[in-house]
Amino acid sequence: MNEYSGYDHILKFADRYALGFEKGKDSRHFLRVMVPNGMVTTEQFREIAGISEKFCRSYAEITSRQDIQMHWIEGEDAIEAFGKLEQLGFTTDKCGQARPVAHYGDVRNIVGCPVAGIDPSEILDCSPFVRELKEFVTGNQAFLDLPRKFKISISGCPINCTSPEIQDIGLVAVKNNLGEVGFAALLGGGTGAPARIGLPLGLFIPRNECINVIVTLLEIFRDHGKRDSKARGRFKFLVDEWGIEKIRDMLQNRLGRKLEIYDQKPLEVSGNEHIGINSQKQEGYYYANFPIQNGELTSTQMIAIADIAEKYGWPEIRLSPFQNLILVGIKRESLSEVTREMDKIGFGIKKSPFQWMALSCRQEFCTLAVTTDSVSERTRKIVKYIEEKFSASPESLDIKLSVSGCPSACSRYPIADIGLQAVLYHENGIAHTGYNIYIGGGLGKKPSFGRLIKRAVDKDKINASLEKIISGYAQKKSHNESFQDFCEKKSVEELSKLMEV
Amino acid sequence: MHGGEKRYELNLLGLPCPYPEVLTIHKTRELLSKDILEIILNSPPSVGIIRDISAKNQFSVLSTEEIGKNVWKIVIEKL
Repeated sequence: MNEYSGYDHILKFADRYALGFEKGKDSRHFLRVMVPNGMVTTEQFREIAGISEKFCRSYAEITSRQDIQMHWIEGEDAIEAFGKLEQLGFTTDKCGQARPVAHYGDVRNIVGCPVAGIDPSEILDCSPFVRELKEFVTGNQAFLDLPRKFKISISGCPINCTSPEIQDIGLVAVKNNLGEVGFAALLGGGTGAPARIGLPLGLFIPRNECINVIVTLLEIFRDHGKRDSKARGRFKFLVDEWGIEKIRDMLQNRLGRKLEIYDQKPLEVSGNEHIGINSQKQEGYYYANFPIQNGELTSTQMIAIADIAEKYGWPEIRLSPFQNLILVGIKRESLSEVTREMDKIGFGIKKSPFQWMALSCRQEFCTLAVTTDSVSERTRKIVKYIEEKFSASPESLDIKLSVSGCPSACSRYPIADIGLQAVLYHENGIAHTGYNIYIGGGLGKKPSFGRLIKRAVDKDKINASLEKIISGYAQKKSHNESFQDFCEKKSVEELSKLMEV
Repeated sequence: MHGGEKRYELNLLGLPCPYPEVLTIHKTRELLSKDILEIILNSPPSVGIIRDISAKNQFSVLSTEEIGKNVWKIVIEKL
């Protein structure tokens, strides 16, 4: 028995709740609340705003895994916050990455399409699978000591908004040759170095086997993932070493049966966002996706958003993997009121796709940050500048921007059309902030990582460099040619020249 | 108040943030002046945090030592 065995009121949370460690902006801990499939009721959202107000300086942010993340929480306050989250039905990341060993890895928030159940074009509403899997793994001792963190997405969304290619396991709803709906899986993806696009498992997973297959793959990772090195602990290294065939064989051996072969490409559309106002499958109802720059919210805004949602639509809010926020169940006659009221609290909807799909990491708080240049502020400046420059042709801005404060790629810069990675460079013995510029990454039909086109471009020259290449794209692209397709045809030298200022 | 001078150990191995710091704070509330607390933990961020909160809560940090691979012992004394 440990010395602390008398503290059951504290330790009852230990298998389901933890804080992450950080040290920027005077914050020692972050609290990352997992919101499975990004679905939260207005009541829950209001209560989380209350936690933010009480312990986290009235600030929160939506992450690219559909979590709600807060900062500045003190250790002792966390126990009260955990109690509140438990009442609300939420848990947190276990944040085992703070330890220098290949242990204590947990299943991170399970990502799903934020318009699951309401998107008229979805193949399958996968949110019940997300909830069932989340229920199974939460606090489950068998999965609290994985070699590293483990990222899963399950979606039936035809625009591939959950980026399954960069998950440890990305499940995508598909139909087999008989027209039955089940899943295809991609394994071993990830944007951290070395970046990997997930490989197709090559099997058709019937719906009733979905949870069983994921759990079995988790067990394979737990039992065979590399524990001798934290740097090589992620699932992608096991996939690299074994190859898909060996994993497929072990999976089927453990399941005790063979699954049908599925050799079609499950994804055609590049990872995109459900932008703007769209009709739902429920007749007469609409959802409205509002771009939230960097996912940043104040608690006052959160409460106002919950009020607006309840006043004009269904009492729920959806968080997107692009750090945006979706109000659902709105009648046509209420749409203008919703957008007007959201605009009043700072969230206009008449924006370009560039703003909706811009991602940035939380470098200001992060222990891995390489510069003091604020990545979120940098992202705001870039978006504002580019939107103003191209206000006459916003259709040119169907471009994904990602800005990262270190090489770890939390904001997924390797798969962005334009990926910026902060670096320090020295001139006359003085350190300056610059950004490496990666161009042409993307998922879907042609998954690829962006190519490094320019190194250490000074932060004050970034706007002009990006204006140049977007301008070149707008002028020279062929009809409907995507930014990724346009860049793919050009050499590094040609792209570099296109960015010269 | 009489001097304590008792020695206690708090084994926090395996616990992530914030449990090491929270349990340390709770344990220290039971201690008397001159009592010693040895804290064993393997959560690296908690090492610095426990040292910080000890100083702020009238404890003197006597030593911090890595006693095994990624395992630390912090010894504090109530002033």
